[in-house]
Amino acid sequence: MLQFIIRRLLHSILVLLAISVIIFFSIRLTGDPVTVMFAAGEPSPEAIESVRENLGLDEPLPVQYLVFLKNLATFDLGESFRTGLPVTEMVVDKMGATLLLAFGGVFVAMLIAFPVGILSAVKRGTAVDFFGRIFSLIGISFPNFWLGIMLILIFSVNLQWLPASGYDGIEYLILPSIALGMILSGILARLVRSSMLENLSQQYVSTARSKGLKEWVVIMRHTFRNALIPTITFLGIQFGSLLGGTVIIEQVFSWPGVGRMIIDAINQRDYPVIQGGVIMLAMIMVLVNLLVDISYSLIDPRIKAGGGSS
Amino acid sequence: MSKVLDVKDLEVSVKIDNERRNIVNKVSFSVNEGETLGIVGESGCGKSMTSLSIMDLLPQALSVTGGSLTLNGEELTKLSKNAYRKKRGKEMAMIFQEPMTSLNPVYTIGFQIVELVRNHTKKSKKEAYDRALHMLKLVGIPRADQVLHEYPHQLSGGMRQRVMIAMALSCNPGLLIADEPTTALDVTIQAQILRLMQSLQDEMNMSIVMITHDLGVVAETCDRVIVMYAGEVVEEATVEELFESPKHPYTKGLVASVPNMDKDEEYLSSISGTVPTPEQMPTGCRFAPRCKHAFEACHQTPPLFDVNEQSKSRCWLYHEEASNVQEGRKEVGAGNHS
Ligand SMILES: Nc1ncnc2c1ncn2[C@@H]1O[C@H](COP(=O)(O)OP(=O)(O)OP(=O)(O)O)[C@@H](O)[C@H]1O
Ligand SMILES: [Mg+2]
Repeated sequence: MLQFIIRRLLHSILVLLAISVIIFFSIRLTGDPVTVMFAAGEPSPEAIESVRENLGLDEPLPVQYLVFLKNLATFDLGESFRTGLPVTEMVVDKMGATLLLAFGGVFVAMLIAFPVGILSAVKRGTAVDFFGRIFSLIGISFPNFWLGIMLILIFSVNLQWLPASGYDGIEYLILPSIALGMILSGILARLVRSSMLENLSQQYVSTARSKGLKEWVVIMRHTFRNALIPTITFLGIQFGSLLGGTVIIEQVFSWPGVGRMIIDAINQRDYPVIQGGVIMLAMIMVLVNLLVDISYSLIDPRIKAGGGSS
Repeated sequence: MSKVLDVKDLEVSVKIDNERRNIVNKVSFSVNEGETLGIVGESGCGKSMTSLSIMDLLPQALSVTGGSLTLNGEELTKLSKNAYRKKRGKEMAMIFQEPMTSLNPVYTIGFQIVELVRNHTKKSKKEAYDRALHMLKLVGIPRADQVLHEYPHQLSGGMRQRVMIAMALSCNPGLLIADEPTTALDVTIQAQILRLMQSLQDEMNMSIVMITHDLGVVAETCDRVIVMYAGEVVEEATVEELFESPKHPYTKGLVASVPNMDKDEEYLSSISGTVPTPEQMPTGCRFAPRCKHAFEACHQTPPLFDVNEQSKSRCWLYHEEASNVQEGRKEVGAGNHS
């Protein structure tokens, strides 16, 4: 187990290195932050030069990158060009809200997809299955920002049931979580359905029935438990795109998370904040994938942590 | 001897495109206490569907559409789903052909047996685990106390089939249905499993329905046999009768296709042609198109004739009143040696 975790950790570090290269250099293709900072007036070349020097932007790019890496190793993400605040602190500050939203999305997705997928599979070919599949299709087809706006219009503006923006209590989490989790729930419901169908035709299900177990025990304890295995991997992989989705949802719901911070930083060409935010999101993704891999070996006894099934 | 299981005129049909087709047609047989009844026949003749209908485990598209099933004097077909369910695992149990996939891969052996025991008894967890351990030892599993905590993938096919047997018998069912329990196993393991089943049968005084297409298994384990062809019973006989003087031409073909060391045969005979599918079922005798003795009468559906005390045959050659019966018998006998 330890060996497996170490190997996965090394792998994760490589992935993060690759991400850091991509972020670092691609941001610098977007324009010079100093000219944006002085957008208001007409600064003297000397002033620009000194700002540059201060921010370390006068060094050659590879040198800047190495400095960035060196600091990253100690979780020092530099300071915001704008506010001078340490980026690490800024990101950590906002990360809680973003993670809360992401898990809210996953929770909504599971809450909807598990029953829909299971029922669809068990009642295959009936009206229940038909509506389940229609639901999946609808869930997948609506872009999440549009869904977010619709939810606000209906539940906040018209019905006034739920708050539309900000975060000040659990009720604020509901609409953005639904908006974020809907697409995932559509895809997940399909996956659960096909995975359930595959498992329902397995011999061990007949064995479970031949034992005289109640049908729901056969479905949940025996079939669903097996169908869950591919589902967990899938959720782990999808968590990344869900985190990506928070960037948009945070805009729509004025959610005080990392995503909104990054968008603001992009507008201001605040390199350290963009880099720091994205790198931290990437780290979370990598960490979640690692956790999924580990939990996978717990859920499926055939997978030995250490690789390969026997 | 009392009848444990009595099957009368069982009909199983499948619904395809709003059309019903019989897969099992008026099948009748009974199993006495402590007896092993064999069901033999080629692949696709309806052996599995017959046994699954007894357990009420038919696949969704299939259903019992006629006949009666009586277990220990109680009519099963009229039971509610729930009452039927409570019989499974307790009064009747089943083991399947594929030991590799019959157990749930994500639960330990112990858990799976305990689950069954606790489903039907009021035993505590501890008592149920003791029962599971006892059963594993009974079926000859070495290191039983460790195996209790192992997962199916850690065991070989033969061991898994032993586990299946241990589980099936853990609540002392009076009837065990074994659907080709040894087909997927090595020959040496096959013999071990069959011997195990026989010794457990003696010990627990249970009845066994042994489904197989292997006449070797029949010879070794069964008391009586029914031979199925295309969803129908074509012959019923004691195991001695079956091998010494098979009646139905299909049975003769089956018996003749077993390699025999005593006789000096130059080639193995086998039955030409294949089992008809439900879509293209011949009218009259279903075996007639493959039968070398087919004659006029075979256009009519033959009933199951009582040939003697122990055997029945669904073949016009055994029509008592027909004067050509004796000739027919000779002819069949002669055909067997040619
Ligand atoms: N789900 C199903 N839908 C339609 N037809 C089916 C279904 N399952 C089985 N059948 C048909 O039922 C018939 C009997 O099948 P069954 O499995 O009982 O045969 P079997 O005698 O057990 O054969 P084998 O030796 O291969 O196990 C076959 O003709 C098969 O095509
Ligand atoms: Mg079969």
